[in-house]
Amino acid sequence: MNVLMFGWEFPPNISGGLGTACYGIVKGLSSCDDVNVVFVVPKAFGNEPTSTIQLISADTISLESDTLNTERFPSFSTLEVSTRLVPYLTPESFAEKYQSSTEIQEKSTNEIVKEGRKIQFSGKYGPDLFEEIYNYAIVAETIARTYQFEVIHAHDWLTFPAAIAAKRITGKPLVVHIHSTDFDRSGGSVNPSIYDIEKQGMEEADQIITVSNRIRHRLIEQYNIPEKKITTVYNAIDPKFYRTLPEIKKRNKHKTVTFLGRITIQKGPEYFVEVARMVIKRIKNVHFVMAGNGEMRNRIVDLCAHYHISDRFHFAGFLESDEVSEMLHKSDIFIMPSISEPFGIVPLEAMHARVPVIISKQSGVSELIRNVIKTDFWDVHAMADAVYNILKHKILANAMMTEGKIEVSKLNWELAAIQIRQVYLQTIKQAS
Amino acid sequence: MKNICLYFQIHHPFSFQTFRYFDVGNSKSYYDDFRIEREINEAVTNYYLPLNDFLIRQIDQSKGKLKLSFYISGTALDQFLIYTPKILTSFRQLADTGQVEFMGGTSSHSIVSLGENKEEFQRQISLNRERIEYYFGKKPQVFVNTDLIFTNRIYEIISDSGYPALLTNGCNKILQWRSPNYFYSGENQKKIKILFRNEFISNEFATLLQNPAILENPEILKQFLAKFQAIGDEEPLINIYLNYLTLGGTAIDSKLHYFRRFISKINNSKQYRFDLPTVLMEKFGPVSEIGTEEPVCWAEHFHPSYYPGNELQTDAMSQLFKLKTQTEHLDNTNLKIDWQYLQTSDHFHLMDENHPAYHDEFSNTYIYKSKYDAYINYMNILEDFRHRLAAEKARKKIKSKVLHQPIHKALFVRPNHQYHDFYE
Repeated sequence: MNVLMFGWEFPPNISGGLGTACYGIVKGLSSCDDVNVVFVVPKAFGNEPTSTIQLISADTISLESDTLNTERFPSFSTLEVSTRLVPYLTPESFAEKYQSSTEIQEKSTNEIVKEGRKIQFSGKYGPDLFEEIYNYAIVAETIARTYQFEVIHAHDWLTFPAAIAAKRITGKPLVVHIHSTDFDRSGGSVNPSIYDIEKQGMEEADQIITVSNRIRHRLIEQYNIPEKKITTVYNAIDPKFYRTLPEIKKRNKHKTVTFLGRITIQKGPEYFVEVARMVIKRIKNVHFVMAGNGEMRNRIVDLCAHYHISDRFHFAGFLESDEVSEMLHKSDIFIMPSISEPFGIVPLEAMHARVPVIISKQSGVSELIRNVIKTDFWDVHAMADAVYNILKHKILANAMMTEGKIEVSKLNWELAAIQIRQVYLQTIKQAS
Repeated sequence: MKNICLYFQIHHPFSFQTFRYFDVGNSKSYYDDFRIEREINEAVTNYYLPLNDFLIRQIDQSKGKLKLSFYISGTALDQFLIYTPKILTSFRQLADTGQVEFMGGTSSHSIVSLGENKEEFQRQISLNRERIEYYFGKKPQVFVNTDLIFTNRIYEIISDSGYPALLTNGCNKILQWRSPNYFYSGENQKKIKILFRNEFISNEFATLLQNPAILENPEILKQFLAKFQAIGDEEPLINIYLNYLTLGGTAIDSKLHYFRRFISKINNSKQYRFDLPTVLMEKFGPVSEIGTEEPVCWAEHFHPSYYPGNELQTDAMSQLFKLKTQTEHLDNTNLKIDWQYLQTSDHFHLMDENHPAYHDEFSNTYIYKSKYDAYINYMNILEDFRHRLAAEKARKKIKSKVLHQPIHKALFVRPNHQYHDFYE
């Protein structure tokens, strides 16, 4: 079975969990003998692990047709979007992105795409995102004509137009994989254009895979998708992907509590500050580290200054994947107070690195794992209490570490891939 | 003639409410009073009152043939007294028929027997024994430990405390090839008797009662009674130990109908009869000695060699038992009561992830979502309790200082700084 898979990012060039998940899925599927995946990204940077994966970079594809089918996606082809609403954008990269985007925008909108021309992609998230998505769809048509496949598999809304284009050209069935919806990313203030693309993708899809039951219910309720069309396949982690660091930690006198993720409303950073405030008052030698970047960072800095906890509250900035494992290894507790987390792979990584984990019940991963402390995202008292107790009682910390590690090592992408393969088979059966 | 001994267990713990570390020292109550009240009221109205009425009727009708024993835990008695005293009258009525016996236990269904503190264990035993005698008019003769925990050490302490017999779970771990249907004795001089809960038949009975749909079928009772046939004629007694709650609740009518048929089958048969363990103890002697160093138990949802439990549980218990010296001569009633309730076994059960509360996604019965929550909550409460003990000690010290000073000096004795801290 040949699968044409559309993604937006691929490790190590990632800005969120989507790339990691895509890599895991592709790797898992490669263990199924009869599944052959062709993975398309807008832009490959050349440092991707391509040994087991056939990776296609969309900017290297020469276009066959010179017809720009603008009627197909009229709703977003010329839309300008305000920056705040664009997912995964960091303030640092904003200026950079904005500059590069204006160039591309001029090129792609004003010039007519001719045969043999290649389209430039930034492969990142920026204000020109809608342009890129639209261009990606044009390239997708060409790719769909070139390759032989039975199923199209698309990850998240960014790739939906491309996948739909491929479906319409070839008539092959489409599976869409929902890693998050705009309801999760925006904290409720949904961008209607994104919603439209998401809904269109879901409706065009023959089968939908969601990463948790939480998202499954969201699709049923908010997107009005029939229940039987949706299957939940939980994410996993690939232990070999992470650098193995010495098992026994150096017990530092100073304890570190870590937050890891984009500093956006979705991830609930203010709750982390509230927890820090409560705990710092009670315990000496505890430090809070917020790693990541996002549009709320300055607000959080202000909040820390307001509470006078800046001496023990640190910002680590955006971390690369190696730095992430090192950060986790140095941590004594990992907290994910997300307001709405479709899945959340980082807690699994933390558990793998033998770190006690506190997560919000509003995350998909909380459906899957047991050896963590689950609280409501708003319940800062519960979180602070858990932090205090984990730091105080070594037995509790040890139990969480060892049992958590055992639990996480039972997860693997192969199991997820088997479930995904089932969905493929079912989709093909339905389509024929 | 085989004798069937029926035992019913009644236990309700004082469940905790969410207690944060940030509540320590704020005089917050440990207990979820609303929940406790709701649960005890529900249990009494839907289970115990109708069941007691039913049993009184049955005892009346069977003309002295139906006999059974009850174990009511100390915490359940406390809750009856606080919230639904009328149920005590109903149990007293049962006791007054002369066909019903009440067994003794620890004063708060506590796990004290697993600790080192012998004096505390003995104190709890005698406290409960006096109490049962006071309520039901007869000194209990059979000791039922919390969750039927049994070790050689417990046997030793019970023999010293004056009980002539104790009941434990007849699981394979301790019995191995032996039958649970005899009296045994322990490996010491006192030779008090050990009764074993017939695990197979008791569990079978409980499982049947959980499927009220099939109970109306007469074949079911026949099949159940056929299991009694497998027991040899020379084996003197069959101990059926159940949770009293299994008899009532939903479909109480069909359950009671089944139970009535069971009683009349036994009463009319020539092979079987109901009897009380105290009567049988006089007739039969122990057949052999038995003992174990590793605890065996019977706790619903858990396996018989469950104790001493996982890391979290053993740690919580050892932290609790560390308070031994501080709690020896308490005269503060509130502290005394809390010290008792802190030892109830249910708090420790919740620190195991096999607890059914963690397998039902939609269960709202417990405030905890995982064993870690239970541990954290317990440790916070323990921390608060420690603070209160220290404050009490400081208070006493001042009091004695004041008492032993000439009055003109006593007026100038100030509370020390530590004492002040806790109530700031």
